[in-house]
Amino acid sequence: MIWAEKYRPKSLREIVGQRKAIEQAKSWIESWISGNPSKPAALFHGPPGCGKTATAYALARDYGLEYFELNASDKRNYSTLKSLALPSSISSSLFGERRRLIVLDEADNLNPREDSQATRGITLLLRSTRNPVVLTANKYWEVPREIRNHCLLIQFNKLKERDILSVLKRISSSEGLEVSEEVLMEIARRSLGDLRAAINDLQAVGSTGLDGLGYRDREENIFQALARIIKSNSMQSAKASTSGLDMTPDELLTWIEENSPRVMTDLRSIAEAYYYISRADQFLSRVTRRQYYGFWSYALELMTGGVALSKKEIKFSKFQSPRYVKEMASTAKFRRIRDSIASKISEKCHVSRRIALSEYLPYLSLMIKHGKSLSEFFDFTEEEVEYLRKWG
Amino acid sequence: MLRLVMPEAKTLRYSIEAISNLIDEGSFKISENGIYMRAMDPSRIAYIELQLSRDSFETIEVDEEVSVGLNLGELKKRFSAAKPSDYVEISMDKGFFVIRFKGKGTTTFKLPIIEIEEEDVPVPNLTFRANAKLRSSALKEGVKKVGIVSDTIKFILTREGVSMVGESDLGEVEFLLERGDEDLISLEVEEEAKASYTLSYIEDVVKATAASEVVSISLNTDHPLRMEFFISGDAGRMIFLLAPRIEQ
Repeated sequence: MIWAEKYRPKSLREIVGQRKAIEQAKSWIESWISGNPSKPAALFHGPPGCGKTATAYALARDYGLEYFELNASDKRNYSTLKSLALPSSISSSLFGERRRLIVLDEADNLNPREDSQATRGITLLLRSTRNPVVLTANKYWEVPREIRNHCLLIQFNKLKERDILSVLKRISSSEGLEVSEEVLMEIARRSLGDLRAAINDLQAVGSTGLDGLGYRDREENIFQALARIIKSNSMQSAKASTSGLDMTPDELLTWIEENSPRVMTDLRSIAEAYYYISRADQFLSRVTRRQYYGFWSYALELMTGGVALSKKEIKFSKFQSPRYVKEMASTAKFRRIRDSIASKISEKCHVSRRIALSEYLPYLSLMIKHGKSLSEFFDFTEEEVEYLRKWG
Repeated sequence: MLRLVMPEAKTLRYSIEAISNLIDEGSFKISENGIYMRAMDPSRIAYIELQLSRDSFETIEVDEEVSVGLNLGELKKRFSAAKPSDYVEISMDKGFFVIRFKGKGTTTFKLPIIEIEEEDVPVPNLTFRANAKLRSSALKEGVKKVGIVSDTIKFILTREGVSMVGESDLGEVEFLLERGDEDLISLEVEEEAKASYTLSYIEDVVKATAASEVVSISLNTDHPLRMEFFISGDAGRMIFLLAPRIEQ
């Protein structure tokens, strides 16, 4: 489990370094509870990892409100807001008589031009809501004014190193980590006031040790991840095995491709696994071609879950780093020559380099192998050669 | 081995229609005890539970309990293609949910089974002090009439009867079932209760009335509403909970 979630504050008392913001948030929510809200919404603004969402969550817990978060950016269109957030904003909770706290994360990620519909939806929501709404943003001035006008602005400060250090100490002692104070201070210093980042760093250091960071750590990680992917029995766990892996899907695919046949025992499973690998590869190439990184998620599911579910039995085998990478390195010289041939053909014949390679290169290679000139190769008669000479 | 047979498609057809507008996908637990599903809608103001016991089926052969994730919109389309009187057979085949209808010819649909993130759906724990049992057709009628005037429906349960009220700028409407009305099967009111709900959610769920003769409605003032639709006698039931609108 990610520590940043495990140690998410359960009460406002656990939040560090935001005393003033918390006072404001409390009196705003109390105005709601007493039935006379000062503003329908509060806009929590401040740098990343300073406790905005954590405060919203703790606020809901301390005041017995149901926490309802609408964060994914793909839900930010007018119709979703209208069909999902609006009913939610005017209804109380299903669990007894509690109200709900509605949280819209990253309200500054609305592009005013593209998301004017979303802006309209949020404005409508804020006008009609009968539940308190919290919006979060890094920069309040990037939240559209129509929305801001309905909000009480509450500023969150960048956290100080000593606040971060105090949390890191608390977590490392409850996890039983043996990390020196200097290391904790270093993590706090590097976090630049982002507590979430600091906790993630602490977790990384805690699981591998400081020496383990860097390249070796990464190699170890891919082996563990591969083992977990291949052992998985569900899409979900296979895909989850890649979280925290610092590797692009393209790289990961070469590792999976190299190692799946090593551990699978029967040919049918291997064939099935390769089917999913090739499907994943198709999506990866679409990512490049269309510059749409949303396809990464499909590719990941296919290459992890698809492969994991293809296996019947697995045998023990040592994982190897992908031969593809080594071969690409050893063939670099040849590829360079091939590419330079392609550019020359492409220039003279006015074709793309791809066409030059697929359509022209085979013939040229044959001609050169047999040491023939063009007219010899095509077996032109003298008449034909003469015609060609005068043509055009 | 998994094989379930129902002599008539209508029970499944109408119960799926009722839930598919509220929930996009559902995880159905299928065992020798029947089919079971529960879920919350994405705005988390409605909760749905569907139970079809083994008595709902003519044949039920299940080796071990399975969880089947299905896209409800797609499932609804398949069942809408069936005549209510069609014979239905359900089975599974390598990642597919297989639905076979026999009526005019035999139609076999294979629907991909999807992986659904196992979410712990909390069961709201509620007790009620006002309960009424009515014919489902009467509920449907009341909902329809309120919808002419308003997009909010107020249920009022008193010792004298059940009424459904709509109010808007366009005026008011009241649909009343008095004690003694043959559509009002029973009425137990310890404490009179009234609360308002978003009508569209109820319009969706009353589609289940086509598969259900009797519905019970339970209420406390300004608390969630509970409706329980009884399907083919006592063989199945659909439970629906809805959070009230906050009155201004």
